Amino acid sequence: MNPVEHTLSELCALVDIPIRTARYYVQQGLVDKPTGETRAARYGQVQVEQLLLIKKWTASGVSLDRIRELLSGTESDTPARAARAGSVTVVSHLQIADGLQLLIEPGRAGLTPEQVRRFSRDVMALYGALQGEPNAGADPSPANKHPS
Amino acid sequence: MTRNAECSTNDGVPLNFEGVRARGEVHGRMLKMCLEQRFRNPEDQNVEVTYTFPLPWGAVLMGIEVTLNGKKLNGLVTAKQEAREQYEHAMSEGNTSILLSRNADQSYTLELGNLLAKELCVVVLRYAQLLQPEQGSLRLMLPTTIAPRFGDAVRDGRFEPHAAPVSSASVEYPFDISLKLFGALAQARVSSPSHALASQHSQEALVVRLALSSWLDRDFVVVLDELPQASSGTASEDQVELGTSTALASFSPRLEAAAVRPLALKLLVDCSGSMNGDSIEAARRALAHIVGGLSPDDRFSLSRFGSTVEHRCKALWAGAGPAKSAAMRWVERLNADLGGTEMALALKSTMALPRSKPCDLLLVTDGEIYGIEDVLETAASAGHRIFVVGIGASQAETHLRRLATATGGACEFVAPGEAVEPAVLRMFHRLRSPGVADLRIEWPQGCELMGASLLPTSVFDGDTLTVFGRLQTDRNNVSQAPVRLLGKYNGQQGEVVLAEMNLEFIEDSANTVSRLWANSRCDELAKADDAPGQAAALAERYQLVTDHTNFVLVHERSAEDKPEGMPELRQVDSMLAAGWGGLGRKRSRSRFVDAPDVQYSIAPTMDGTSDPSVWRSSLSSHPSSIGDMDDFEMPSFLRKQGDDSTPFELPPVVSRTNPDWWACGIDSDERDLPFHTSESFPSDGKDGYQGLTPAGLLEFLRINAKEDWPESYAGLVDAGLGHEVAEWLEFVVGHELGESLVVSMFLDVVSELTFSEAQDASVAGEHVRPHPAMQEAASAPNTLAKLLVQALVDAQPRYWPESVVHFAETHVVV
Repeated sequence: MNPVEHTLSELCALVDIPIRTARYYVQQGLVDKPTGETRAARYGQVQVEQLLLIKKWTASGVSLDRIRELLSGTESDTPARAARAGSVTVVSHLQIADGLQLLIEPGRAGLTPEQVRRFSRDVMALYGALQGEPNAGADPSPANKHPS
Repeated sequence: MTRNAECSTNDGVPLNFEGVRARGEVHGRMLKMCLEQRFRNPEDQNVEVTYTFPLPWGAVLMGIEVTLNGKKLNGLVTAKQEAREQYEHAMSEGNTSILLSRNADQSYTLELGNLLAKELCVVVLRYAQLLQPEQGSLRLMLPTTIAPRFGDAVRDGRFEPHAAPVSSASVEYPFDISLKLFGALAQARVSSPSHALASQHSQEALVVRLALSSWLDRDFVVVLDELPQASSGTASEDQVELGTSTALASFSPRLEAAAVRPLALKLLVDCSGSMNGDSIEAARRALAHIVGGLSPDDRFSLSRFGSTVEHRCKALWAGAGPAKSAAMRWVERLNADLGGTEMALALKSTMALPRSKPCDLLLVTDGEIYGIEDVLETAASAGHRIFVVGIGASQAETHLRRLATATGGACEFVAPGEAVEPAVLRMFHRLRSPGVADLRIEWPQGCELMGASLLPTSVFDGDTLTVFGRLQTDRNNVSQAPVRLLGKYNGQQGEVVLAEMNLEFIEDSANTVSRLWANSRCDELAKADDAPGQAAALAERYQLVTDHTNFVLVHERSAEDKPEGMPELRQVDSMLAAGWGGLGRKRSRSRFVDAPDVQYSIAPTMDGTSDPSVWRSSLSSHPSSIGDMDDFEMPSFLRKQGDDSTPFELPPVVSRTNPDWWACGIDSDERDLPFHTSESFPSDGKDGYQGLTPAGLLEFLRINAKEDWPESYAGLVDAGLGHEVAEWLEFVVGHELGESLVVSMFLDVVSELTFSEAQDASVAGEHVRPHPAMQEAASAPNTLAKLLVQALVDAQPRYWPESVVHFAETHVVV
């Protein structure tokens, strides 16, 4: 029994996705490559299902990066992905004392800004207690949250 | 000046984009610019390059010239669907094709499919832009990159997935520009807040060049000042629809205000993470000037937003006295710490703040969001004019201009490090500009007017108002009589001539004027809804890239050159905008002297939707702040202390979980609301105040020795007193008195308050009965103590008096 084969245009008409978008998903590795090349490319049921799944997920607001994870089956509780070269991340540097610095990535640590503030204060208090004297270094200026 | 392009690698993959060279000329009000983009394929396989890039607001693409390996190729503007089919067909046939489309946010995406191994393709985009001088000043902006935006590009920004812009901090593309200014502009004062310029007078023009190597990482901004404010107009024969002419009238209306109009202005500041660094500093400076420029008859309110919205004011405040001081203090404390950028919600909430008469909204933001359409819908329904001060190195100019023009407001833009005062002054001038009714244009007699562009909804003194006219006439009729802008204002009955000029008939071989008209007509038709095909047809006739038309070019390859497989995708990442999210240009400012870099990211949340994870910049010395620690009181050892050799102990702390002692601002069930509605400001005093209650402060004073009591307004806030009460003390009570005297007297008065049983159990609504000793104090000649006692007589254990917390609303300065 021959599996059903579609050209790119037929595939896109079937799942109601623009051609360029479908081709983009293939280029990004979200959808399997077809058999054959260019004009001779043929897509089967696998690609149909992949496209329909992607369509459903994007419609509910899931990002393509997350979709990639889900499709490759590497679901994990923590979004611990290797950073893409050139990507930008948030790191907060809390200067406790000369030679003592705390690096916080609140997103990864799963802390709210309030928790981070409290944690920072406690750490500084701990250091102060160890030293037995007021912390003569930086006067911590907290994040401003304005109640109103 | 062009730097030799080097292929800097990005994760092992060589770059395909070699930067932009721009060459421009300005004649009168018309800028004609050529942007040369270079694409190279250094690999051994065929690739498909996609590049999403911005163009300035009002830029109209006039032509695209493509050179592939030195050979010139031609393309056409075609209906969108057909253009895409041609492109995809070329891909499947192994041919090369170029497609240029406009995205929903009015950025453009260039797709270069099947750039073969080692090939070089140069794309030259030519655009025309009408410059609009404002109050004698002209700002010429060329954006070079798209900064990261809040939200999802596909879902909120309506990008197609392959076109969504992506930022990278490790790519670098060179940028070069030179401008020739002819005519009156050659005599203008030229400066740039964004780039170091070198200028040189030639015989006919002023030539402006870059003095240093530059990158595609910030808007290119040139400011031309000291321009004559005059109306001007041109007309030329249309070469598409023969027998017709197009007139372009640029009016500079002069409106003389009869009296100074008092303002009703709601301020809304973007405090999202993307504002971190240069942008929030510029925002503070701009707002300080705005608040400083308010007069006693003006009314204003203060709000700030990120993922949530926070309103400082319950209603509009007067622009004087303690309210103004409190506003300045609020501005100083602004930080980019509210997370994402939920602009639509913030606007809605701010517009809902009560007002008694027509009100304007002043929005200070970098505009870096995807979901501008939602914002536009919200704004349109609101009945407020929205004035925007756009801040940042790479601004979402198109977003912000659309927002302003849709509501009848206006925009000003401030680049990082640029002086904000001129922009703020111009904005005030507009806000106070008299309203104009019955605006109309009078075209010269004898001109058969076939149609004209719609008049804008607002007119401001000194700003440019541009109108197109379609005339069925010849040049003789056109030049003779003036074109007039008429209207009624200042409550006068009669019509007044606001501006007029004579049209100058010009030769226009490129048909620029008519194509500019066609572009604005396409926009009007597209909004009209009832003529969907007309916009596309018009765009195709005049060869304009619009939302309905694309530019497409197909280059057939010989059989031996055709690639075997489909091309690999190579997206051109955008350079990260300078100064964005804390990557400041100027890190030697006093506040953040030793601050390490802070970077901003879009970190994925658990459900896969993207939510920015933001934290503010690192801690640093900040002597000018009140030291607002609102989570719990700052242990006294962290404050400056004299020599103290006693053994160290942590001082006692007032519990913040006890509602008798600590007001947390909003009900816990309201905490999930993304914004405070006006309904959540009840009049029982429990309205957003966060900090120690009277009973809480009393408890603090009880458990701390008198020598540990705060001695300054900042100290009070450190101790946990809400800043509204501290500000009331500072600006209303302590207006002309010494700080330590006022604070100590205040604490003495509070310490004498008695709440029966309040300190042991929670009793609400218990009125303060002045202590017998207090009554003596009240009759004592100490007027300060008397004032404080009277002010606090309405204090309840859990609530400060309404007149204290909302001193700006209730206190009127004579």
